[in-house]
Amino acid sequence: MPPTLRTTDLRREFGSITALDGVDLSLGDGEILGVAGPNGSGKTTLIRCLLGLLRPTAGEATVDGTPTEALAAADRRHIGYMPQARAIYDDLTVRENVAFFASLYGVGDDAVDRALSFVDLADRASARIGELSGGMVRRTSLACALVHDPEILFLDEPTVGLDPKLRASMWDGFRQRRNDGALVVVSTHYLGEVSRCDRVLFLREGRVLALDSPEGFLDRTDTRDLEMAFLALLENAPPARGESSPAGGEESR
Amino acid sequence: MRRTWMRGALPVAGRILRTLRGDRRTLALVVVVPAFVLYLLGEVFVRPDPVAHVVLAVVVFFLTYILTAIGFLRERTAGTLERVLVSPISRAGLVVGYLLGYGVLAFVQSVVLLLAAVSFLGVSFANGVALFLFVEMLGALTALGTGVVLSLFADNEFQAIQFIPVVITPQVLLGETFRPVSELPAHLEYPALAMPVTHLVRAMEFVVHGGDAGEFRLAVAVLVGFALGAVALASVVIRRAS
Ligand SMILES: Nc1ncnc2c1ncn2[C@@H]1O[C@H](COP(=O)(O)OP(=O)(O)OP(=O)(O)O)[C@@H](O)[C@H]1O
Ligand SMILES: [Mg+2]
Repeated sequence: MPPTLRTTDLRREFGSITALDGVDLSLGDGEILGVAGPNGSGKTTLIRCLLGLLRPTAGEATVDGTPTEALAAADRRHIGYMPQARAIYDDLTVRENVAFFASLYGVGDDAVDRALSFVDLADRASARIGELSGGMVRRTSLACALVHDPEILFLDEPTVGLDPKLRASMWDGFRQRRNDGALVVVSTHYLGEVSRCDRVLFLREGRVLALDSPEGFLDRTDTRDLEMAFLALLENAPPARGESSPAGGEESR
Repeated sequence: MRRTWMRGALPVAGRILRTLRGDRRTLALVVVVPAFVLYLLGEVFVRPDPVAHVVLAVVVFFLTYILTAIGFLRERTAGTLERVLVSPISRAGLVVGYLLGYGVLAFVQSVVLLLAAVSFLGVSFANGVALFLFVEMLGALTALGTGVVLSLFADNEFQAIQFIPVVITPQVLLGETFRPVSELPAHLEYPALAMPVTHLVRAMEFVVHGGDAGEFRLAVAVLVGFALGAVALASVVIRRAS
């Protein structure tokens, strides 16, 4: 059975800040959902609610019908997560990092090899993280997220700092997984990448500004590229909660 | 999966120990510092015997607190904890993994201390070496739970260090180190009895110098309580930590 993800009227507040403000979403059948929006619009908060790391203030997020705060170990085995933060162990080597997560998921050495070659780090496997370039650190983190071949993959800005060639090959990999039936949720600021998603969720100040296919965005805004489409959407949208720009963007832990 | 309630414990313990291999300073802190401290003590005191048990009690407690508080804090701030929590690990598995990983370190420290105490201070353990290791491990467990819990209230390494003068130093000052607790003013006597180091020092005094076995059993019972309480509290808060 293909995995499903659903949120109903999902709200999450941090004190006086409303990070998510009534998000409704339904995913299934193997697709790539792009999550876009300005800094502080709630992308990371949405992903963390879907993972069960944050409890919703109201509403619900479910994976295959189970509320995400109540996911059992057997459910979590099929989920992969690459956080926006660095999230790997600096004092371990590349291979030790990936192997650690492999062992948490109960998969073996060949899975580690596959993940390392997917991110093109097989020849740097014995390097310590401290000796790597910024992009290589991100690639190690990505390898840790998909070493167990998850059916649902959450990637929070996975391609930040990757060179264009690698970014293209990562996206080929994501689409490959999608074709095998996986659900992939990717947040990104690279609007060029967004066109490679099946659908795009555009958030602003915690609300869904639009949810559509990339072509749909171009049609409805009558623009030629997604960058212009999103700027047009931001300009035409009614102001939310007074038009003061949020101080947000600070990454949470 | 076999033994599901402990799932993830061994990977986590292995990772903690492997991390040290890439972190020479911490390794030195574990192995060299305890021996060096005892060496200095042996040079400073003509007759180090009366203070030996205090130092033996406090060093492992103190180092284990630092190691776990900083280790767990790093795990939280780097975002790796969040990652571990979304994996199929069980909460008990995570806690037991920490206990095993840092427990092995505490054991290594204890053995180093033991050897140093014999060679630099000429300590003869009145009640045997096995009892010494047992008491050290009880102290380390208490420190471990305390370190995990306190590190939740710190946002960075410096703040975790700031807890040392606030939480650790009073324990060392009051905890039977310089003066018997019963001679303290009443308003300090009860706080002193509520601190694990007090009982740790008492238990260690019996191990090193001998004395009343009944009092020793009481101190050990209280320490077991502290260790269980600290570990239980740590496992309750660990899931909320991300
Ligand atoms: N743990 C937290 N405590 C307090 N406020 C938080 C926390 N996490 C997020 N926020 C706030 O919630 C809002 C949404 O944050 P979020 O991290 O989801 O944004 P984002 O879309 O991922 O931004 P970016 O593009 O910068 O990664 C922001 O205003 C942020 O300050
Ligand atoms: Mg974010």
